[in-house]
Amino acid sequence: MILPVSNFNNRVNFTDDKKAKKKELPYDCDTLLKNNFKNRALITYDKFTNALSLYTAKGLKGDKNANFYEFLTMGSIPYVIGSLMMMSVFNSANKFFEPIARSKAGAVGRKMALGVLFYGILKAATKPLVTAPVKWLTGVDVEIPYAKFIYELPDSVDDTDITSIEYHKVFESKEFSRWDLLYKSEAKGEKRNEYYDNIAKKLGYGENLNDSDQEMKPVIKKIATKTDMAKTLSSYLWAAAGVAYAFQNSWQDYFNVATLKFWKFGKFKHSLKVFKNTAIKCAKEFYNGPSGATGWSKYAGKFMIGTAALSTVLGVLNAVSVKKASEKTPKDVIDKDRKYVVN
Amino acid sequence: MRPNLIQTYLNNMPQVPPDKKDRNLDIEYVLSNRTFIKPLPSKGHLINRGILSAPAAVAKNIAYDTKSFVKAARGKANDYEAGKVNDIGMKLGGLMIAGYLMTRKQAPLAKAMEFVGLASFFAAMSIWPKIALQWPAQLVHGFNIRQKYEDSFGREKLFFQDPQYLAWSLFSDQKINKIGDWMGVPKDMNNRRDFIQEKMKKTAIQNNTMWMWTAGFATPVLSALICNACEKPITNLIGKHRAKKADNMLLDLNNASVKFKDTAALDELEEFIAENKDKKLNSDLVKKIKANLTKGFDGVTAQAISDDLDDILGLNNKKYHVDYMTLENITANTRKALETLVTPAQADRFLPDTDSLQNLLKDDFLNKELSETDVKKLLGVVGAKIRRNVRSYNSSIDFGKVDERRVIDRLFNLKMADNPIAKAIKPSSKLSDSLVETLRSTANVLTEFKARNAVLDEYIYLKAAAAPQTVLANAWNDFTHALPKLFNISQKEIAETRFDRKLTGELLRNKIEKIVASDTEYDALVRAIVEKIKVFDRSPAMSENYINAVNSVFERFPNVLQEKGLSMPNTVNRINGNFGSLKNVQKDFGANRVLGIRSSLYRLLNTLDFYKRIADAGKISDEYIAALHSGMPKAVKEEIVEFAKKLSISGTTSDYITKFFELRNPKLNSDDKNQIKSVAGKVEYKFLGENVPGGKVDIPQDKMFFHEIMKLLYENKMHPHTVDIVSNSGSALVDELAEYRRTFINEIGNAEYFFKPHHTTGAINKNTKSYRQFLLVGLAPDQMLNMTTKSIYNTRKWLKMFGGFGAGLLGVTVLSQFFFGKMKLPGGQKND
Repeated sequence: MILPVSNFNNRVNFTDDKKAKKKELPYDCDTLLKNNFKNRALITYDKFTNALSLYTAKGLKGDKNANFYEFLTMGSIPYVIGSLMMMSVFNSANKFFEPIARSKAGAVGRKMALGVLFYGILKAATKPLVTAPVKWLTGVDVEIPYAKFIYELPDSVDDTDITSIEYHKVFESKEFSRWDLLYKSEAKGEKRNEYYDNIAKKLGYGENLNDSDQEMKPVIKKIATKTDMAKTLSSYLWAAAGVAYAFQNSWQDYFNVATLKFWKFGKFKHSLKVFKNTAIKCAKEFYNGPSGATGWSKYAGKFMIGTAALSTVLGVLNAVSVKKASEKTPKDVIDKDRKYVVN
Repeated sequence: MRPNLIQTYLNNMPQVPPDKKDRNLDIEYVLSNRTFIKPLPSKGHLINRGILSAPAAVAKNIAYDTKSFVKAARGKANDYEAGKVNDIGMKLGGLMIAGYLMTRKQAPLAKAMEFVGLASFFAAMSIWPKIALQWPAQLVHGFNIRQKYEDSFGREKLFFQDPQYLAWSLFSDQKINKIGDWMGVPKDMNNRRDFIQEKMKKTAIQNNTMWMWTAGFATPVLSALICNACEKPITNLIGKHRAKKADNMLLDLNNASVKFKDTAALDELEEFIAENKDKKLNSDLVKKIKANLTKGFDGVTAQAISDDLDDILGLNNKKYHVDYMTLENITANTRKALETLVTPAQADRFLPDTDSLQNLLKDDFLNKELSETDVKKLLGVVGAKIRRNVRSYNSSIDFGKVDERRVIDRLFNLKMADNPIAKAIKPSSKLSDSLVETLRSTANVLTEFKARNAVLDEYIYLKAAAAPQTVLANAWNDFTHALPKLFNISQKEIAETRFDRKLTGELLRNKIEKIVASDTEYDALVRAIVEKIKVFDRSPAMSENYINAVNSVFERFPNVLQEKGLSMPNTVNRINGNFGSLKNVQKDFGANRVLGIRSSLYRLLNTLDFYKRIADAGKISDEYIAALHSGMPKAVKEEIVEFAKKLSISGTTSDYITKFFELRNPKLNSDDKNQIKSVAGKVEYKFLGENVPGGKVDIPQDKMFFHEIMKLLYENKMHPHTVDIVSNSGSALVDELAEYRRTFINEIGNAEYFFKPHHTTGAINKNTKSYRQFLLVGLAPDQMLNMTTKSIYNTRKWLKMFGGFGAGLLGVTVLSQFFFGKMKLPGGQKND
């Protein structure tokens, strides 16, 4: 069945049902967004709620508009469920054990749960350790998001609700980065190549280049690729260090008083205080090794932190070390007198 | 990988405006002659990999990942290659976690399990979609929803991952039609291929969604289940490895000891020597040398070595030296000692000054090497001189005479250490060349001995220590974990009794009584237990090899000393002597560990045998329960049998040592002297349950109660069935069991208890040791079972919870397949 597809933004709702709500989309074309906390939070919220509801529904129905973006977005579901499940596997059965086994299994189980938590937190929280310095040193923000405006296939001839929004990142694909979104509008009196000019200036390629965009694109691509790699690797190493940190014995001090019942204000406040003290104590224990440790176990903590920190630093250094214009070899420069043949 | 043509073209696109002549381009001509932009033939294909090619694929993947990693680091990776970095990071992070947690674990199994856990997690991630989705879907829909393909650039991807971009051309018509046939798509419809493709796409999308929703639940559970299943085989593997390691160590003791050699201590000694060579042996240096040479020895041995070192260093036979300096010190010391007795002016009159001392001593003492006797002589000479001086001084004046006795007291009638003159005379021992050599070779001998002894320690630790995954511990766990099954104890019964040892004991008693009622059940049980106990015989911690090795290591020590011309009698006695020597301690440790475990096993066997004898009372000859002799009132017999039943299941060492405490009937019926009567394994008590006016009491003066119970349990003949099975087992068990019962009577039955002096089975044995008694009594069967059921319950409970959950999830996921891929045919009919 071939259905009519309109390739303009069809926001006219042909219905006489006054109650039917018109779908309001925040964007009507692909739009570059500011990489700020509010946008990031909104995007995360939008993606996660859609993964749980709309994308799941479409997926289970086998909807013809289900796409790779939705599949990837649903990839957050196993992370969340898996984390909760992991905590449960090590804790849920313990209450049936006799007291000594219960307390022993509980101690391990709680550390495991904390480990899962720290894994997630550190994995997410350490990414800016790479991306922020790279942005600061080169002007390239690999995390810059944009809203993609999508037309879907209609389900039937009456289906007019065929648009939706996806959230992507400009440098999500290094092969097909959305360079177009980075140009400014001359119609609005802005400088077309402003973004590229800024980066050229920061990287020492000079100011007022004729075609800063063409010159900077391969450089930016390199920086983005290297940054993504450093971000990925170092975040896993930090996450690993987080799990190791959660396995320090002194956390027991906190578990003894831990409560999430924030309405019992006194107890909750006390538990937060103990958490702070325990966290410091455990950090020391993690760094120095358990008391009386020798050999490997004494240095394992330092090694974990060291590796993670090193991967971050080396990653950033690698990402920002791109050739300056003056260092370009003749091979990189197009010789305007030569004819080039694609083979 | 081949170049991406579009990308290459874009990058190299000429930036110059076309030449003029190009403006007159004949487009028709160019198009019909466009040889250079003809696309290359596609190299993409579906991947159908058998299990055999998996290793090659793994190797290829590792190579690809490495290449991607390098390209990404250089900023040259494409999207697919950059994606590989994520896989690498995830695995690297996982390895770091497992590695770190390993350093925090003590037991080798726990260390290994960290990596098993990691591997199982990744395995679970890839196994789950296969068993829960891919295979059922293959059966229901006839195609692989997780089909992989390789594109023209050699990139491997899941075919259905992006439903908006499906490389259908990779599927031949024949293949698609075959899938359609399986799905039951009408053969004669229009656009059949399109319809089948849509159906496949729909099914795949639904399965992918299901995958995302179930993976989170399934992976941790599946991973834990895999770990659970791996634990036993890995324990066995580690156990075998450790046993072998230990055996090899004994076989090549010399080589094995190299690892344990404390070279740091030897280096430290060399440092002392270099620093202090030819210096006087002061107490500080002696202390340091002793600390160095006794490092790693227990206190008693260290003292023995230290005593021997006193001899070697010449501290017991000191040499002294007197020079002019010494004389000055003597002069000063003597004056100081008499400070409160006489005035300095007086002292000058009768105490010799340095010069007169020099005159006095120069012939026999000054600048000579003196022994302690010589020093005493010197004191005599000086003393006589002072005495003479005092007398002549006193005779020279009339008034203010000096008290001669007190002067002599203060100067001479003192211990050598306090004597003011002796104090000034310093020992002359030096760290001479010959002494250095002696110290070096002593240190070498001791270090070598320590290293060889360490090998023995390591061996016995691996074999018999109370630590996880030692040979003995593994065998023990094996045995105890088999108990619930052997005694037919259900999970429900475990759940009801596991909190209380008493409840477990009652349960065990009921089970045993039920089993002994039937000959076949009893025989089967005893046979099974004997088979298990035999395993202990085969993994002995006290092998002959070990005893020989201990003897050789400890007996070698005095020989080596002799070879090197060294003499350390105290140390030799401590290490290789007869009583309380290190050699015996070394042997005893293993022997005691084994004794404790064997006693527990024999006790269980003995308990079963006793229950069987009681159950068969009347059926078999009375000699098997000879302790319940014909002159004994039936009421007493009943008390004895009941107590023995309880004792054999839950009695502890203190019950035996205190010669039993039991509330009994003080005025029982003594007319009825019949034998006890058993029905279906249980004794039918006639008197035991009777109400006793005035209450029951312990009767401490009745020594026969103890006496007969011990005989009944440990001395009366064993049941013929037991004897048959044990002696047919083809091991030395029959003798060992008899030996155990004999030793029990001798060391516990005949032990003396102050408050109940006559409660012995035979003549009092005064040589019993409490730790031996403890080891002989062993672990009570109820406690053994209770410990086991607790851990079994926990594992089973967990398995039931999460195994059940996993099975349920699997069921739902598999069933969901039947709701997937439903589409209407173009005509509106349903096609399932």
